[in-house]
Amino acid sequence: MASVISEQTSRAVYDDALLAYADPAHPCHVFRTLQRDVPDAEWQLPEPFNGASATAGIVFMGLNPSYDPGEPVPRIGTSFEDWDTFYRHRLDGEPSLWPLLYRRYQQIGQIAVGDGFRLGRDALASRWRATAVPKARESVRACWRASGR
Amino acid sequence: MLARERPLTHQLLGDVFPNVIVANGSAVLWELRSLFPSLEDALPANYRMREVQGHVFEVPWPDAAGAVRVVACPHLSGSFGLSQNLLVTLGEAVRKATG
Repeated sequence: MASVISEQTSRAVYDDALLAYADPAHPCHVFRTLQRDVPDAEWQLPEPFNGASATAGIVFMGLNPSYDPGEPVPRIGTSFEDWDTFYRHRLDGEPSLWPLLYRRYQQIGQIAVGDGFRLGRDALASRWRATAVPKARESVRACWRASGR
Repeated sequence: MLARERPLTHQLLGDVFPNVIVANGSAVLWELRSLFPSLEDALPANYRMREVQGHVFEVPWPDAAGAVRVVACPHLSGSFGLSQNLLVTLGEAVRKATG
């Protein structure tokens, strides 16, 4: 088991995020307008994954985009290297300071694996390609409507 | 899911080859069927998340020459609460899946 996201994959996600920001033809370009209270020039790049490895073989996969106008996360203009490093090491610090969602993942991991479990090392927290979310949610809802759910 | 995004998610999972994917929310569970078609057979028809939360679905993963276990998890967010009972249920489901 590899347990680590390759630089090639990370760079592909980063490049797609830049394209989503710059290209009106990109299906996720609409996401550029959805970060309320974030100046366009400081648009928050999508969150690709959090953590350096998944040695316990666990990936927590969410869908919704996450942004907080005041959160010091990488913005448009950040280099690939800085963006990649930020997310691989985002969970290195004190868990009580993590966003609540990741604290919940940590709690679930501790119940599952034991007190020594550490999100970011033993499990990754990922998003289903966050830039796609607005259209993805529409797509999912359309499917639900079509199936009567 | 937009077709252009699916390969990136597939590539990301293919790097890690996890044994367990915790699907946070019905939308993720629904989308995972596109990567693991057998999940469509494993999920009850017209499932509701409330009925499958905490369930573990084992599906073949040819890329990994094995299987992956998908844990159905209700949508977790920092925006609303999570009961202790549900937290334990999910933790035990992930433990079962990793075992």
